[in-house]
Amino acid sequence: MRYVRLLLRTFWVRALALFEYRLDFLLALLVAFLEAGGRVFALYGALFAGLDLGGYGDGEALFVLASATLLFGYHRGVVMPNVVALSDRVRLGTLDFVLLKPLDAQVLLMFERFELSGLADLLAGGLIAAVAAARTGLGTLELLLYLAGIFLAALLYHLFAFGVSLVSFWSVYAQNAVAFLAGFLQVGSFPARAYGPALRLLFTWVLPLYWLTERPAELALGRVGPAGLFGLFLWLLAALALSRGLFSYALRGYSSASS
Amino acid sequence: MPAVVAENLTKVFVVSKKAPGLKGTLRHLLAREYVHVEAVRGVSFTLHQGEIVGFLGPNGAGKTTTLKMLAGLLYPSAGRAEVLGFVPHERKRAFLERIALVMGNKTQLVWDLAVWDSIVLQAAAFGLPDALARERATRLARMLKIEALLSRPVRKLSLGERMKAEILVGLLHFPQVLFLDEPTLGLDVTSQKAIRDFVRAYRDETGASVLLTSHYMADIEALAERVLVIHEGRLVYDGGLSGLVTKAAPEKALLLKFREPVAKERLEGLGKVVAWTPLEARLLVLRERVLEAVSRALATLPVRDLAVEEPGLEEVIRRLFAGLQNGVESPRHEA
Repeated sequence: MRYVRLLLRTFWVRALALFEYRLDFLLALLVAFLEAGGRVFALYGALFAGLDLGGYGDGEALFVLASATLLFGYHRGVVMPNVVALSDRVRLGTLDFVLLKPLDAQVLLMFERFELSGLADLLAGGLIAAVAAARTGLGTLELLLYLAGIFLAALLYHLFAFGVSLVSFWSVYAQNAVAFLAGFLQVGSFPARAYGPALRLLFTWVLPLYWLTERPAELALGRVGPAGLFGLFLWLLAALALSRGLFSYALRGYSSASS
Repeated sequence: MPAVVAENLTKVFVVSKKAPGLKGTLRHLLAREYVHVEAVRGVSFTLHQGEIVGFLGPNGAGKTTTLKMLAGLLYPSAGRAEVLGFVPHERKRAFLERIALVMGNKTQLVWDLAVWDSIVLQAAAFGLPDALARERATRLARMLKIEALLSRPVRKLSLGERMKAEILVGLLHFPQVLFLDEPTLGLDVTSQKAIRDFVRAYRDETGASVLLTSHYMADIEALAERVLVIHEGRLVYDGGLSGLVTKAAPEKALLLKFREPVAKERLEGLGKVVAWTPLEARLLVLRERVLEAVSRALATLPVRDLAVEEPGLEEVIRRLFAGLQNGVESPRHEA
């Protein structure tokens, strides 16, 4: 409960801070909508260019694209602002204030910031998902499974990004590393099977792109039942254990910028 | 039970060595060398409930590193720390709810928003109900005399006002142990005094223990009943302020003004003459010989005026550290 209260208040306070600079806020929103519009246009272009998507029809592939776009919105709106904040906190030593709070520091560091610009991608992703749902005749159960799948996929992606961002404790290139990770989301805009058997193995068991974008689509399309969430959940548990281990290791070497 | 226990607390940082210029940069890139920097070396002390202790030392002596180990931010390389019965680096919730570290050179306030917004966030982090947080914030604001500033954006506060707001937010959960790292850094004398008055009042009201670092001796003189002195990572003194003054500066200054000119030779035997003109002189006299020197001066010289001065704490510390730099052994504990 304390986490929910804090996160809601953080959200509110950050939103107030964003509104403080009205022009900056309006410009950020305008740029975000223009970019999202361009992405939607490109996605439709790619889809109707007649590419072989590994047996996925137009409407079905749209679900994969929707997943990638939603995750990109999450990356831009939540993941990246927190990666930047962590990097700044380590560099300036203000990570101290997070570590002094009587709450789980990893949760705070993963969710303390957000950017409204991610909202435009989320809206675009939602729009693509709505079109896909209309084309494939999505049922209520499938819709709920899709939402659950996207939720778990977003957390999985966030945990991976958090693990990578811990590079901040030793290097100033953490932001670049996470931006590189986001590049894979573009690859995940198409079903993993469209890339051939070798890459499909890579995107399923090494870089979990399949689990991030295609598995939620499979849940929506009824290709896997509710048990299909289990695999995602296992990946999530593994990523959680790994990220916590890495964070604990990073903290042992934390030197806290000198005063 | 002591509020804080440090036993042989040690912190070693591993840092890479880099020579200047292209050659140094290439070597740094290809064959990096690392050195072990002992920031804190086997520091031991205890802090009792309700005690205010000053932590003195030159820059880089290890004060902040020690404080950060006690606050759970840094893992000790060796030794043991215990604060209110907790091991700090485990950072248990119950521990973090009972301590506070306020740093004079870092801020946790939300820059663009009113102080109240930072209070609201801090209250949520510490699980304080809104009514309790409001009551405490109002009480602390009254003590710090910043009631009128709480609705002002942080960026529009002066340095002194911001530091007071920082303290308010940092202590909203009413901690039992306070680690204050240079809380008066860069402030004018009025703000310094206001913060000193607040720290004393807070201790008196809550019975909290305070470990305070400061470069301003006025802070230490006004607040600390006991001082710890650290030099190059080692604790070189733990005791009362008066004991430090007595041992680090065993002499007092004797100032003499004369009715008629006095030759320098006539002052020999009273003490060490450090300044002389025919009509006045300044001598350093061992503490135990001050009375005797004053009596002799009055009996043998045409004294018009006379004063005995204690060296200021700044001077005492300067002499102490100068002695340590020159390898002179210093008093370890008050006798």
